[in-house]
Amino acid sequence: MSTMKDQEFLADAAKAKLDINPLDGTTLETNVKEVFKLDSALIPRLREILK
Amino acid sequence: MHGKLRDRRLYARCLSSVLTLIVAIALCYATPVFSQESFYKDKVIRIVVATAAGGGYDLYTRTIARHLRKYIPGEPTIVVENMPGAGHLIGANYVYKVAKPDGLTIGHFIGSLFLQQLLGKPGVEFDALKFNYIGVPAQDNYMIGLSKTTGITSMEQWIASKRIVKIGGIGAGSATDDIPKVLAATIGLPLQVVAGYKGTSEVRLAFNSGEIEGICNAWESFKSTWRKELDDNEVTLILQAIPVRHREVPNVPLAIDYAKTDEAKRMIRSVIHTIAPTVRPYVLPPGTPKDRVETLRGHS
Repeated sequence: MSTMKDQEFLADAAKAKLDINPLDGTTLETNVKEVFKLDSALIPRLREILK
Repeated sequence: MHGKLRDRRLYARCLSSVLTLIVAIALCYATPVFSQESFYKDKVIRIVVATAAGGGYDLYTRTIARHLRKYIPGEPTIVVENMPGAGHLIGANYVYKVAKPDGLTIGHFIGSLFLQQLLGKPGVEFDALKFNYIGVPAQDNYMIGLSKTTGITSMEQWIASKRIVKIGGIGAGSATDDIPKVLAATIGLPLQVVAGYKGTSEVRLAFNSGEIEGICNAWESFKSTWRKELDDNEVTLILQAIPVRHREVPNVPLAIDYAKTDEAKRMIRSVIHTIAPTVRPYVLPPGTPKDRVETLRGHS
């Protein structure tokens, strides 16, 4: 996460109009696991919608 | 006399043992740093971006790549390689299956592919739960913008419109495609996703040529890569596909407020609203040595 706090990086990102609102690897891994906890009752309908 | 000599020898032996232990402990702690430095010195880290140059994914990566080097022991060279196609799947599959898990290849693709894995989408050749995650630089706030040629400037106009608006898409599994499709099914937006563009930079070209008339894109990308279209009022933001209105566009309504049934609300909450925190992942292939994962997690 060092780069995400680097002042030169943040200035560069601001110049490119990029928002920086980071999450670390551990949190991201937890969020990905959350995706796989989707209510199974929604899956058939979602398959139809997103085909 | 002999007793004093024996005590001194014993003392010297103890001191020597303690010093050996201290050096051993110090070496244990120092080794990972030295080994990472020696591993990354004179090496090249390649960041594979699963979309074409010029879009938001590419721009974030190139901006990070300019500053990442100095934080990795050994200061390796960082290069960015675009690997577009199949709605980010080519790049994502490559990082999972083909790239060596040696800490020298980082992947960046759209995180909404994780849902596609869950739904059993053909072509997904990775298991998202096995990637090593480095982090995300931003949590996207998705919005739909329509061209002024549609004459539509509000949700009410759009829902009432008989006109099917063509929305530019990258492919199933991309938020550019999935969010509009879920919104069409849940709140009845008249739209058709035209997929197959290799990135939002190509969608922008199609938008400007009149081939398509709208896009679902992150506000973060709108601000950076669609600046001209926003400033010239060529694109109007119609709705926000996030749980709470973004402070920078407080007058653009939320999609969830137009959901009329419980199923529609659940679908929007559990599918659309969960995309944002995982949508811009930087990953390492499964099997990457843990010390290199930790090095890149700590310093990216």
